[in-house]
Amino acid sequence: MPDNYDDSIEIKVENLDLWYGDNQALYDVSIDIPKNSVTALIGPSGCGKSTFLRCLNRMNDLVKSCRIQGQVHIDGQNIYSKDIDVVGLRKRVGMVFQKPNPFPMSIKDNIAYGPRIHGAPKKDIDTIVEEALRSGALWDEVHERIGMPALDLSGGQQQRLCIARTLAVRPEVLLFDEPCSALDPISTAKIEDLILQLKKNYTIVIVTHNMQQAARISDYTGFFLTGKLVEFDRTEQIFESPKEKATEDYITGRFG
Amino acid sequence: MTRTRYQEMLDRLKRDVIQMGKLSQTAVHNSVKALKELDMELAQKVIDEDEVIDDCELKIEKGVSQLIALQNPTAGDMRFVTSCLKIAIDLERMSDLAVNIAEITVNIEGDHIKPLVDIPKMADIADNMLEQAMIAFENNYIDLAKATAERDDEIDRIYYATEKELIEMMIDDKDIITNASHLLFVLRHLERIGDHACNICESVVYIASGKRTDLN
Repeated sequence: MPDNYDDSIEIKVENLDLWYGDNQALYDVSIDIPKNSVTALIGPSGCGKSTFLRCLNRMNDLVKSCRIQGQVHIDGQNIYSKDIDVVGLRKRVGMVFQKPNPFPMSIKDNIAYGPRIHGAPKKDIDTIVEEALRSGALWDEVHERIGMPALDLSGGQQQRLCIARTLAVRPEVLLFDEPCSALDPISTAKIEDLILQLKKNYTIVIVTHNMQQAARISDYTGFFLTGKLVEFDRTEQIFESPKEKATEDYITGRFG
Repeated sequence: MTRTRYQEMLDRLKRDVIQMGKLSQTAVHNSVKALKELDMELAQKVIDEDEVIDDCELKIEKGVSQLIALQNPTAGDMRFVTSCLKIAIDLERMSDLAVNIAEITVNIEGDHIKPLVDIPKMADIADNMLEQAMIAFENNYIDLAKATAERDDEIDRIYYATEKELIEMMIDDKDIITNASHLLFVLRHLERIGDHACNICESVVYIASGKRTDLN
């Protein structure tokens, strides 16, 4: 546990630097993300926001040339300490990606996949599947056909299935990397409503290029530029009176 | 510079608000000039031209709605756009008050009950406050906005002193009650015009700094 541990903070990042080979992608990022909140990360392409997001469940470990300095604490635990179980970490910190990526199997098996791997008893599976699909706001649409292939669902339904699949292993934190960029406005609205529902039980961090989405659903917004966290504040503050000119220029669309 | 169309819409909105400010200022100025000189023609002109100012307000309202609907203004732009709507409402109210003063002029019977000194003095301050508030708006001058709002105290001082004086005159001479009460309303209208100028100053501070202040 860090010395300055505060239990209202779910994710505490201190002085995080990250390199891909010789290229530094993150510079001295420090941020406190409160529990049961939605935090949006915004910034132009290549600013480091997705790289930062991937640090929160050690997805960057999979990139060979990647080197990290600094600390990331989740629920008081340093996730980069040597004794951490990375698989267990990724169960605690779930991730949903830009394109819906259901497994090529039935709706039910998609949801049950994680719990089975983590050793859930067979008799509990049906309950877990129903709970997860309900939490993912998909149950009403699919409960009569959970044996059908997940790939037959619409794009928006597939994305909610991926969220439900993440929820099935009971994480604490949900990371979303551009979850709506491949979806139409109606599916987007459903995912946004779902995210607002989910924050009651989870801490959510979302990377988005859609500034209005950040404004609509987040409690906090962080603005990244060239690997640095330029500004982090309450979302109302960022969109009404940002402190930094670079933030203002970006959110009013006056960059470049 | 990117977002050329957006910037054009913002620039047009600003020009419209500045233009409306000039028209309102003229209305306030002329209404008091007409009252002082009992110039019925000028008073009638103020009344007739109010329609133009009302049209300005509608134009600004439309510009604000379009910017919000089409361009999603945020941060400083959002503060500017929403404040333009507020400023237009203040300017429209000021023009209506000028019309009220002009209508009083039209209804005054005979000569003034006393030479008008304090009312024109008050009007000069209000007129000047409006002018300075609009300069502050045009240039995002926070300090000018704050200094301008402070002048409202002078208006209030004259208002209370003159009100007292008029009431005493009415007690002494019942025959002047009609015209004196007209002047009481003029005082009240000018005092309100000063308050609206303060509101505009508050909007300027909000646009330029994001801080909501009470300058009144």
